[in-house]
Amino acid sequence: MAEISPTRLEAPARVAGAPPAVTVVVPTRNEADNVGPLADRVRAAFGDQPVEIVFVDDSDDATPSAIEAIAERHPGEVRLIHRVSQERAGGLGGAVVAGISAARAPWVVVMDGDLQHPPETAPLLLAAGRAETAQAVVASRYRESGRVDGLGGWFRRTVSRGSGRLAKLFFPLRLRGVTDPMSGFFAVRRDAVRPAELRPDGYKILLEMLVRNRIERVAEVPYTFRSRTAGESKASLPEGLRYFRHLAGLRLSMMRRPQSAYGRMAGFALAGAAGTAVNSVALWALGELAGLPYLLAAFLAVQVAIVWNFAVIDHLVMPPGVHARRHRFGRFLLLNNSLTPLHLGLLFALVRWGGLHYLGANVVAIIVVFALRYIVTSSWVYGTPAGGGLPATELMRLVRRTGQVRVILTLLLTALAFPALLAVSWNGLWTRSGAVPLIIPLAAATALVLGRLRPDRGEPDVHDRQVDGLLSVGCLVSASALLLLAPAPDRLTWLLPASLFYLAGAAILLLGTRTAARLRWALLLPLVSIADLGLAANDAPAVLGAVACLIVSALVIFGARWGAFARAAVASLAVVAVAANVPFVAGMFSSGRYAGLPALTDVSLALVVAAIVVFWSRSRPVRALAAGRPFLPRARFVLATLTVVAVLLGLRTLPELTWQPAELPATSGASSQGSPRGDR
Amino acid sequence: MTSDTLVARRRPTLTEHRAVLLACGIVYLAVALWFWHNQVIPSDSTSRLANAYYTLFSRDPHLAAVGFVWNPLPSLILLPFLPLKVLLPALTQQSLLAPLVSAAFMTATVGVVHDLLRRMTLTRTPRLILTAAFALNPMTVLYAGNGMSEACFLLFLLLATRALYQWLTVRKVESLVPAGLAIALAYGARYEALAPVVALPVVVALVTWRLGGTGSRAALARVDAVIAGLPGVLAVVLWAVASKIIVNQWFATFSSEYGNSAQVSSGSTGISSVTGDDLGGRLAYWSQQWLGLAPLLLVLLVLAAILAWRARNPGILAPVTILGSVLAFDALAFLTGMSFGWLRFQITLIPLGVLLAGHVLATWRPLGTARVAVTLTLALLAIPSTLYTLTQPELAREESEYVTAAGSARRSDLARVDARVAADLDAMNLPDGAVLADAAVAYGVILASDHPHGFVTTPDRDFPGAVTDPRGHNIRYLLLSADAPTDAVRTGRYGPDAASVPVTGVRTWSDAYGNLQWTLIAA
Amino acid sequence: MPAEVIERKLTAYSAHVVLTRLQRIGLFAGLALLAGVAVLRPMLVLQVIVALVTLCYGAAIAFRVALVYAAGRGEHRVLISDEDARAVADAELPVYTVLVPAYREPSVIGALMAHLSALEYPRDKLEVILLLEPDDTETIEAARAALTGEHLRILVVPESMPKTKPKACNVGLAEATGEFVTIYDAEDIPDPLQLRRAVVALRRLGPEYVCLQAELGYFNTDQNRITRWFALEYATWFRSLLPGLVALGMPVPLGGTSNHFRTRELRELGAWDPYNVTEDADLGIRLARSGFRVGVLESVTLEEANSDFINWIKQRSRWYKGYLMTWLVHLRSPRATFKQLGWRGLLCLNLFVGGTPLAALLNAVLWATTLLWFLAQPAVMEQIFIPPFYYIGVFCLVFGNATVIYLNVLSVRSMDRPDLLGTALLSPLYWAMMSLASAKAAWQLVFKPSYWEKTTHGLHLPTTAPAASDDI
Repeated sequence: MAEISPTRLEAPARVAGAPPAVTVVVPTRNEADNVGPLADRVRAAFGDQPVEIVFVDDSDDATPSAIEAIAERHPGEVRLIHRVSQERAGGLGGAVVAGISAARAPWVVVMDGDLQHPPETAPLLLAAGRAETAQAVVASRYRESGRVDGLGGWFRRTVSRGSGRLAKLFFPLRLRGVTDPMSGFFAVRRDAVRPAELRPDGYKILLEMLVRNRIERVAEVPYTFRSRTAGESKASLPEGLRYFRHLAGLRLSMMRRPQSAYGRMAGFALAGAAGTAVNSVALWALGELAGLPYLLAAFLAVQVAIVWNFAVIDHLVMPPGVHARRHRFGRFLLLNNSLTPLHLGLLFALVRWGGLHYLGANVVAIIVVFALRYIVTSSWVYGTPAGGGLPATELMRLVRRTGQVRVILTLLLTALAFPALLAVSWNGLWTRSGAVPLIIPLAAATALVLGRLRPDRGEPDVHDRQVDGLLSVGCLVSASALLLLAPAPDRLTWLLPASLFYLAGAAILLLGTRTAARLRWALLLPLVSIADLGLAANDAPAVLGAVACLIVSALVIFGARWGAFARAAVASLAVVAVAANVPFVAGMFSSGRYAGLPALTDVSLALVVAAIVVFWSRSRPVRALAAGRPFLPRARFVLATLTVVAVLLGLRTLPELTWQPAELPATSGASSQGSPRGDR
Repeated sequence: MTSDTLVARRRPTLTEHRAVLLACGIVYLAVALWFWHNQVIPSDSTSRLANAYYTLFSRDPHLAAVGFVWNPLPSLILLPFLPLKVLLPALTQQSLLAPLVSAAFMTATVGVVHDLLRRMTLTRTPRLILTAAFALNPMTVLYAGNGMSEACFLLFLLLATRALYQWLTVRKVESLVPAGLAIALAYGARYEALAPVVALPVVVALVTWRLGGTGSRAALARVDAVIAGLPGVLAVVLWAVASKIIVNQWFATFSSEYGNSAQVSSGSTGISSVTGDDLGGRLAYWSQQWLGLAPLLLVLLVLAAILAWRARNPGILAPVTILGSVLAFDALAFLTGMSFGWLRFQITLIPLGVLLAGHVLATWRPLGTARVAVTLTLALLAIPSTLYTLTQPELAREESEYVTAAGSARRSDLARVDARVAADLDAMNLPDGAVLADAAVAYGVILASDHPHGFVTTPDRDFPGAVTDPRGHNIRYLLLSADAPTDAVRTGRYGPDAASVPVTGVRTWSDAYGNLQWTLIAA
Repeated sequence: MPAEVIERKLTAYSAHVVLTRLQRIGLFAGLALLAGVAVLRPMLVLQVIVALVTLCYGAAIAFRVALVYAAGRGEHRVLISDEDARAVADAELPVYTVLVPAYREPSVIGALMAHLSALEYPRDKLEVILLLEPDDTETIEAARAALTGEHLRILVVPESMPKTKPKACNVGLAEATGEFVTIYDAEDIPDPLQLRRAVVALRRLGPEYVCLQAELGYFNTDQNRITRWFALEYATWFRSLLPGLVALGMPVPLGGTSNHFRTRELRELGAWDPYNVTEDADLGIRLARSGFRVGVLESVTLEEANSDFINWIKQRSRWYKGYLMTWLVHLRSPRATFKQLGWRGLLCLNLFVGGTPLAALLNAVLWATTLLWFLAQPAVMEQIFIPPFYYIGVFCLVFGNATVIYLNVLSVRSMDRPDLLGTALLSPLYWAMMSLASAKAAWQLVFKPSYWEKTTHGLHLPTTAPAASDDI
């Protein structure tokens, strides 16, 4: 937090009757002799700034009369709210809430009446609040220069800090900037607090306010917690237990019906996961026990899952919205069933062509259809556009804005268009066939591309959508021509150029010719792998391929300078090290079915190379951008056409593909534990 | 060396040039008619004419029927004249067209030599004498009349020489273009042009590099080399690609079973018997041919080189580069046992000798009448020595076919046998595609026939199928040649050894001396 | 002569509408007929199309070879030596008007002063008019700041559609007082003696010659491969193709700048067509139709070659669109055109002006079919390419391309720039770029005929701060 020098603020001159700039709320209980000095010190601390002190008194002794005496002496600046015993709901927290509701100033400072909180720090709180436009400012005892000599014994100090840490454990995200969530001395903007939502319970009102009212911007100011001048401390063990129960309740209630889009989506996902389990169990029961055909079993299982999902979602995740529950259930059932044919179709495809067992296929289908279910449910059943956070249009805006997302989209579309490539690499994984070394350069190329999307200064910012259109039409036509003329569906010599053409066409459409041209060096890497294809027999080429990719990437990123070669050399050593001890690591997890996977070395090498390239791209000196944002052409219509073309191309080759069954080749057996290299 | 001192003499009135052409034209026409009349036209000329004939009048006319064994130009040039056979059947049936065209080519060649000598600033008499030395040389006369591709080849070589000479003396870049184009066409005529295709750009680059110019000399040399060499290289590449696409062989001349190398290897026993089978023997035979055709060429070469060096006139490089490289290529081929060693491979010696003599006269200063006389006699000596060489059957094996009485009788008899076979087959008035014959041997018969559609021959696209299953392609008869080394129909039916070939069949034809030539058997 | 008068004289030939009603009807009728026949005999239609295309290709290549050959056979360029140019006394020199149209080029205006002051012409006889658009404020300020000297005048063109360079020049021409007039772009560096040479040449050649086209060259030739191609293409254009057209007595399509006119005849002719994006080529044809002759002046004006791929495509597509427009405009009444230009003019109009963009467009299509043939040998193609036209096609593909490459190598040698040899041999890539540009031009011709595709200038200037790490 910014160190604030205690200079005096030039606040508006104090005019009697003018609305106070700040209200100080002081909950008091049997602290008659503290009230006087407190009021004087507060008014002195704020100097000529109009301040209003509101005492919320729950005491049974002479404190209220003492406060009234002060009130007469300073009419309009000191007010008393006395709460009789049965009105004292919520304890200290309830008092503070009452004080805040009665406050007239935009800013409210809350402090204890026992002078443990030095009033002189109050203006600092306000200054910090204004400087960092925060909604709340916490006076923290645990900030570097804060001290807690006010807390008595060692035990008290650990309890206090422990409770603070516990709170941060429960709400890591919300309290990330706060070091002392249990502090009683803080300032808060009047408009940031919604008293109705608060459930004050004991002395943790700040935590309640930060969490329930979702206060975002919190600043902190260190202060020294004075030793108690008078009155006894109320901290004790039962108080601690009550605090723990309060924390748990707060956490659970916050999780129910989350406000934020991500929270809602997470909730939906959790519910969905549970639903998947229910669905699988039902499917297993109907399919295996009852012996129904798996498609019928799947249909019934889906209905069960829908009912379960509705129960969970309606109670815990989605806000009730306008319609009655019965009505909501009807719509939920109807809409989810509209997605069932897609779900069953995918299941059928995966089982028949994918060669997967129907249970596994069912899980895959559920996951794939999950996004659609979420959008449908949130926007049409609960009336809020996809939870207000991540609607389809929001997704589209994300696509439109970032180049990286578009590159990944290009890759996905290419994969969709060329399932044969997927089939070849999937089979390759198990039998270590020719296509496997493709993974390494592909990973390196993607990483390289993601790092180089921004145009450098020298390039003129000239773009032409017609040129993009013409070039991409050329690429797409040649891709489909190559595909249609390919003698066999998975002939790599025809597929690779066709997929590269499609990739180029999609990249040009989504990123514009100039950006696509700048990424041409990334195409160099797959060509490196083609040189490797011939040597796919053993492990050496994979490492060679990886090293080659690193060298090329270093050259492209750092230019042809010694620094590039030095970095490439270091990275190569790392890669060789990884390649050497991957088998041992795999050996350790020998129980796992994937340990013996022949292509494990390649996959790990790919990941390592990609990581290195991303690291390099990050560390490269970012050049000043010629124009504001990099040029990203409009993509709505373009995405639709690309998807259609991809689906058409995909359907052309999908029927004739053969997918390797997912278990390891028979020969691998125990022998592969030792050195997978041996069994090829 | 400024260009104006070397500019050619004021162009003489055209009459002299036109007179030379007219004279040569008449002489060569007469020789051509003599060849045709006596029916002694060499088999190679008839085969080139037949190749052109197949593209238009065979059962399956298509351009690729011109065949990829020999370079296409000699056949392609005959194409436009083939339809004239309607007016004069003898043009094709007795292959008169080939000699006529070669006569025209040789006349043009003489014209080019005459023009080149004029550019060498020679006065009238030495110019005319040297032109005559070239035009009236027996080899030139023979190859003007026999319809072989030498005439066409010589024309393009000399066109290239003239253009190169123009570039070397007048240093205008534009004249490199005709040199390059001429060499490309020369490759179209004969594969020996591979040598100048390489030599021309190299020499041009060296000259430009040495004589320099504005800017970096290396870049200028590169550009000039590309200008001179691009057409030639393109011709070689395109012909190779075309034959690869159509007959699946890059250079059919060397790799096909009908190709030159195959024929040399199969006939090697005959060759070595004449030329000796070791290097020494071949060298002796080769130098005999050289001395026969151009006895004092070396003297002329040395003299011209010294004079050119003294006068700093690079013009001599033109004939030496173009004609010299062809000679070198043929010598290399023959000495390494890759060629037949025919006398006609040395035909470029004759223009080389004449041009060297011309260059000597152009650069020998002061030029006394004695010096002129010496040079001219050196050039003219070639004529009697060539006459003598032609009479030696072992040196001039091909030419003896039509120069000697016995040879010409045998040759004309073979032609008559082919005509008789064609007439008999026509008499049987068979339907289309009734007779299967290998074009490489039966070209004479197909040309002489009035009904070429009756024959299924090698260029037809369904020929391989017909050979394996004649009856399937409703072929009635097979025409087998008795003694031809390669006959696809015969080997297709009876395999390689000649013993199993039947001597009798539906009909047989033999020549005047009684040995069997053709056998017609049922499919 | 106020601009509107010039405007009215020109409507017969103006490109404000791409196809006249007659042409439109003819086109639709033709298409309908073609569609009808295609339904009945598809193979015949394809064969006829292929035949026509191959014949046009053959004719275009033959025409180009003829041009180069004609240009080589004699000196067809007007050569005025430095001494002759300087021999004319200042008093005898006529008033000369220089029009400089500029739009959104503040950075380049600064250099204009330096280049114009280099012109060796008496200041009192020289009238320079800078033509600017009203909405282009930053260039106007830059101009006001940079331009000094009384012979220099800034003329803000009144706001009116179409907002194109020719319209601005027409307005400038209306104000011109000189006997001769020429046009330069803001970044041009003309040969200092060019004006004097033009005056001497026009006086020497007589009234029949109304225009002289000087040669255009580049000062940033070696910036990258595209500028080298550009330089090679322009050298071939101005040293073989245009002189060839002059030698064969055909109409000469003018270049964008450095063309010198007699003001009076230019005004009578109606000056530039504001709707045509290549107003210069159109003017060249109209000059020929009015019986005037155009000479090629041997004097070089250096300008900035386009060094960026996309920028180049924009510029080239504008030119091709203009050529197509000019071709359509002058085919509105074929009989009249034939009467005025004769068969030579028609040949040039169809093969050169119309042929260049169409050939570029068809290149892509034919290369694709060739590739398809080698890829999959589809049987239907054998039926489409019937023998005689198949051989012409192959001849054009192989020897046509080889000949043009060979001519490029030759012009490299005659340009005395042997280092451009690699560029000449790589010309096929340049043709690929041309076909892309022609595809874009065809697209725009149909949808946005009069849209002026602005090319960004000043790309040759080094960027403000040198890039930290130069990427490959």
